[in-house]
This record gives sequence, structure tokens and C-alpha cells, in this order.
Amino acid sequence: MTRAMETYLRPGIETTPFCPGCGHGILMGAILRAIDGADLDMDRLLFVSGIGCAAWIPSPHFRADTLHTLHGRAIAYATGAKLANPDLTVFVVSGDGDLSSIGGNHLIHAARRDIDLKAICANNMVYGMTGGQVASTTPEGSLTATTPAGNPHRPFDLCRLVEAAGATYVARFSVTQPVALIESIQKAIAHRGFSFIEVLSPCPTQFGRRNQYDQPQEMIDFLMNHCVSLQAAKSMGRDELEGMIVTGAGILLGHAGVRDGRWVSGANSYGAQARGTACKAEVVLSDRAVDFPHVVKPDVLVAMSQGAYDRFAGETKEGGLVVYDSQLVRPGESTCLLQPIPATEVAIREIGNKQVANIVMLGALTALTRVVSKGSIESAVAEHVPPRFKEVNLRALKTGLHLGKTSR
Amino acid sequence: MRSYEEKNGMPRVTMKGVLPPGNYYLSGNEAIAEGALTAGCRFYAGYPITPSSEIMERMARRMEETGGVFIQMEDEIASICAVLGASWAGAKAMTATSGPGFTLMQEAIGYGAFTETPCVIVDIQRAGPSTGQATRVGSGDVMQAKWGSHGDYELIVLSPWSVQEMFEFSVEAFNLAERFRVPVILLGDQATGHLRENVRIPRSVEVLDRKKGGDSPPFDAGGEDLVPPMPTFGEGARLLVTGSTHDGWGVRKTDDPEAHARLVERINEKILRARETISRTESYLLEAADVAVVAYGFTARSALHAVKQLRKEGRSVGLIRLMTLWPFPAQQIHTLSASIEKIFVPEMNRGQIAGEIKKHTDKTVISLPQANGEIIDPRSIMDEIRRIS
Repeated sequence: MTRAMETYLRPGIETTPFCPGCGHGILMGAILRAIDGADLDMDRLLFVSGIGCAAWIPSPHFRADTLHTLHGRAIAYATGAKLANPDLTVFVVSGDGDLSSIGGNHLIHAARRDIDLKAICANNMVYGMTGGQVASTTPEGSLTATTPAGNPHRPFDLCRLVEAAGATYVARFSVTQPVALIESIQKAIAHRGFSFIEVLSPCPTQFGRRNQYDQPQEMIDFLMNHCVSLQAAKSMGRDELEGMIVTGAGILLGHAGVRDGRWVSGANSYGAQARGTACKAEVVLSDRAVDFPHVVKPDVLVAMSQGAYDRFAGETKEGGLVVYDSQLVRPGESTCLLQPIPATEVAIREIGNKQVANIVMLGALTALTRVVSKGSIESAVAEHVPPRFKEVNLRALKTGLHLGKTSR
Repeated sequence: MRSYEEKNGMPRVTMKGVLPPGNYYLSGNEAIAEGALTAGCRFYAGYPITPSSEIMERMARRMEETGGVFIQMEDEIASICAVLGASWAGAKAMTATSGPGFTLMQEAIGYGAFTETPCVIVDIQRAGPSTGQATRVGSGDVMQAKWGSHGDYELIVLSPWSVQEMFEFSVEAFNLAERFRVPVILLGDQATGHLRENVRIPRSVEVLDRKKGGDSPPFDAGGEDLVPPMPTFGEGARLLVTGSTHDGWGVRKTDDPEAHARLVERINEKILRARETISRTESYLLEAADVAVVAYGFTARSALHAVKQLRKEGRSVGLIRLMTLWPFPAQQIHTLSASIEKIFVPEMNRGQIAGEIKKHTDKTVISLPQANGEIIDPRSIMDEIRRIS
């Protein structure tokens, strides 16, 4: 987002909470640019959202009145606010699951009433925030967390649905068509009546990775190839990417521990919390049953981002070990033993894939601490990553094991 | 119509009844609608359900006449959500329903408590559970009214026993909602909702409006009452309203234990600290009584009749009527316990309030439950008291 749009953001907002490759940041920018072009008074704007990733587009980012409501109910709240004060320009910004599944009834009724709301539906074809379950917009045959054999049902065509219900402005664009999208939002702003814009927004984290889109760009490419393309999509920040990878590694470490016959408790930052903030995966490994399953003072901290280091290094046991990615973290003063590992750098240089930096780090950690055995971590990785990524992950692990051994 | 005066830092508004003062013959449901309009309600959203629909029908007509907003929504969930949205847009807002619809509204009632959104929800109770007997009476929603949404929160629940009180409590419900920034439940029942009685509309009614507070945070407050001022959409406050845990300015704090504990404590304490002014009861014939009946809603009418008859027989029986059910009038029950030996609790459910009374007394509590869709006959109360005391 260019700095010109900052005037529309709440002071203190520096990053978006969205995953790498997510289209919602683009949509966020498009909404603000449309408002900028329409010369609206932000004091008379109300942004209502439901629950889900897309609901975080306006709240807390937009410097206007925002109403972050219950799951599915954004349109009902917006109806009340608009009727009580017709001078407000009321936007509803939410996701496909929120607006068309749990909130589907409100959607069709708002369309039927043709009430003057500007509904923008970010359609990522999946339940993103909750972990990638099937939605009413998921294409038939797609793999999701709850359709392991492929979605057996047809998706809604949201535009046709809303149009049939009586909406008087209906449009569909992809985030790969931002200019057309901005124009469309401006048309909705000018329109008096129920406007509905479906915005296809890729979710590489929850949809792409299960459906052969191995890179975020592949989902964008898909949209570009299937829509009229106007501008290449932008990629997201690095910090958020690291957060996600650490979560996956934590789960793998736990599997290896169990394989070694130890008691393991793991707790990972979950869903919404994993996005955009320092994200963590905790593992307690013990030779006895674990009473309290969370990490209080870790013996070992693996920091894959500066944010994670800053937040958790101070909590690490005195004399403990802090392993950090030397490309991403600059350690400060510490009472711990500091061990740099160039995991990201090596992942890019030797494996050719930045996404396996966490596995490189996992290998290094295993070699450095022997917290789990080499054989167990290899089996865990082999068993628990998807088959088509097995080879690259095992290579990354091997590289990491070597890296750890030579760094010690 | 309105005259403003400052009192204890709260803007107080005196507003004459929207219905001209005088004596009327109304049903309980109609009286609720008139009370709401008198209190300044100018937004109603609802969905038809027996036995509360007369409230909505009257509001549809009266909002046209008074320039307010009426909308029939697609379901009860939409109704309460529209009410919450309207409240933040500056309107005093209400909805009315019965048991099944009240259940659907519970998630949003919790949202209202957590976001401190003033609103009034009328529940004209019918015989449940489930669809039950839609046209028959019950008091089965007493616990749902307090505990229906998840998490720890306090709200205010009023229990009228006459058509006059349907009017008065409707006004009071709005005043309490605005004063404490909390959803208030007007918990009526089918017997009172469909009852017709004479109602006196007074010359002037005290009406409270929400506190406005300049630059103060809209979701945090210290001081005596712990109630923050409430800005409105469109005023330039650039509000952040969220049902997630938030700080004083509405910024989401989804993993900060202190922020959560602090907010939960305040939304509970602001009600509990004011318990003595909120929780009202009324006593009848308690002089030298060693047996008391505790009753509420329509059942208190049966109980009063029973107590009067028993007094004529020379039995020392009195009545305490609960006008507020939540926060529960614990102090009044505690005080009552000092002078009596037995407490009889007739109610149109399986003993929901009898259980609550037991928490606050060491005297014998005898539950007189009746869940058959009928009002409780005074004679059955008399028989039980004669038999046991």
C-alpha cells in the first residue's frame, strides 16, 4: 500500500495480519483507494464486518467507525445501523463463509430489501481462519480439511444468488484486477441500494497448499489466467511467512519425541493468532508424564524472526540455548548461549526453497541438542509432510543436521 | 417534549408520554410497546412469534406515527443484531420475542453485554422447552435470561406482574440499559402479555439517556459506576467496536490475559456494585410472618391472593415479590431469612428460582414447581402451605 493511503488507516497500524500471498491486503488497498477517489468523509463511514480473515480488513485498520460483529451477522448489524442513521455510508466487508454460509439468510434478505449497503465479499473459497474447512464457495472436488476426498458438492455462484434475491448492483472481480475492482467499489458507493461485490482473493495457506498450488503465485496465476488481468499481484511480508513455518516444525518435533518413547506436549499458536504476530510452537519433552502442558521457561528457544526473539528470548532459562536464524534475527544481550544457524540462507541456496527453512532449522536443532533422535526426526518428517514434499523436506532436514553438527 | 437537566453527571431527560396521559385499557404486550415509545425507543426489529407478536404489530403501527424505525427481520438472530447496530448508530432500540427466539438471540446478547451496548429484549415466556405449547404460559426462561450466552457477564432482568408494570418496566428497562450500558431483559410471560387491564399513563416519566463523554475511552471506566461514556457512529469518534476482548479504545486484545480479566471483571462489577439500586422487591403482609412466599411475574398474583386468604385463616404468611430477577435480590432474601422459618416458592418451571433462593438463606425452602402450561392456581399454593406449615 502506498503511503498516500495511510491517512485512511488508524494511527499505529503498520502491518496487516494476513498470510503471505493472501489477497485480502490487495482488497484492503482497493477499498481505500475507491474511498479516496470518491472523496468521502471518513467520519460518515461505517465498516461492519463479521468473523473471519476478511472481517479483519476494516477492523481495526480503517480510520472510521468499525463494527466487528458476530460470525455471520454483519449484514444484520449493518441493517440496523443504516436504518437508525441513514446519513451513514455503510460498508460490509467480510468473507464468503461469513456472508454466504452462516450469514446466507441475512445476505439474501438484505438483497431482497435492496437496503443501501455496500457489501464486499472476499471470496477465498475456504474457511481460512479456522484452518481450511470446506465452504459453500469451495469448488467441487477441491481438497479441504473436512473434504479429504474432495468436495462432493457444487459451490454457490454468489453473484447469481444475490442478483436473483434482488440486489441492484452485483459485480465480481479478482484481486488480480485491482483497477477494475476499485472502479467497481466506486460504482457501489454511488449506487443507492444493495450492492454486492464478490472479490476472489487467494488463500494459499489454507486452500492453495491442499490443492496443488504450491506457491502463492500459482494461485495468483490461476486467477490471472482465469480472469482478465490488469496488474500483477503483490507479495506479502516475510515476517508472517516465518511465523507459519515455525508452527509446522513444532508439530514435527513432537512426533519425533513420541517416536523416541518420550512424553510430549505441544501447543501451537493457532489460527488468527498465528497471523502477523510473533507466532510460536511450544513443545514439552519429558521422560515422565507431563503435568502442565505449556512451556513456562523454555530450555531451548528457536527464533525464526526478530519479533519472536524479542518476545521470547527473555523468557528462556538462564544458561539455556537460543538458536536463531542468522539472516533474520539480530540477537541482543542474553544470559543464554546464542547459536546462529543460517537456516533461511541455506534453504534458499542449497535447497532452492525458502519454505523449508524451518526444516533446516529443525535438523540443526536436533543435531545441536539431541532432544530427539536423528532417526525419529527423519521418520517424523517423512511421515507427516505431504508425499509430494517429502523429498525436499528430507533434503532440508539432512542439510540442517549437517549444519547443526558443524556449528556445535 | 423533552426537558434536559443535569443530575449526578448524567443527562436526565423528562419526556411526556407518547400516549397522552390518562387511563387506558391495554394488553400487557401493548403496554410494553407504549412504555418503550415513552422511554424514547425509536428502533424496533423483530420476528413474529407467539405469544409476543402483538408487541411487534403495535410497534409497526406506532413507529409510523412517531417517526421511528420498524423492520421485520428474517429471523430472531437478525433482529437482535439489527438492534445492536442501531444502538451504536445512536437509537434506543428493542426487540421482542418468546422462548425459541430468545434462545436464538443468546449469542448476540453476550455480544451486547461484552460491547456494552444498551438495548432492551422482551421475552414473553411460553411453555417450553422447544416449541412446547406456544400459546400457553411458563417461566422457564429465568435461568436462560441470566446464563444463556457463554462466558461470564451480568445483565439486568425485570419481571413485571401487571399490565401497569409492563408499561413501567418497559420504561425502566430502557433507563437501566442506557445508564449501565447493558442489555436489559424484560421477562414477561404469556399470562401477563395477553392480560388486559387498566393502565395509567402518567403526566411525566423520567427518561435517561446514555452518557456522552468527550475524549474518554468508550470501553473503560473507573470511578463509582464503572460505566464508560458511549459515542455514536457518525460523530467522528472513529469507533472500534468488537466482540473480541478489547482495551479501553476497542483495540482487540485476543491473547492478553490481563486485558481479558480486566474487561470481564468490569462488565460484571458495574452491575453487581449497583445491585442495591437495581434489584427491587416488594413485600406484602410480612408483619410477624413466620412463613413467606417468594414469587415473581404472573405467579406473584396467585401468591398474593393465596397469602391474603391464608391471613384470613389466621396463618402468619407473607409475600415477597421479586421485581428484578437478575442481579438476584440476594440481600432481600437474606434479610427475610432473619424473621421467617419457611419459604415457599411457586413458579411456572421446575424450580429455577427456588434453587437460587437456597443460595442465600439457611431456612427451609419449599419449591412449588408447575410446568404444565397453566398459570398456578392460588388454591394449590394455599393447599401446600396449609399442608406443610
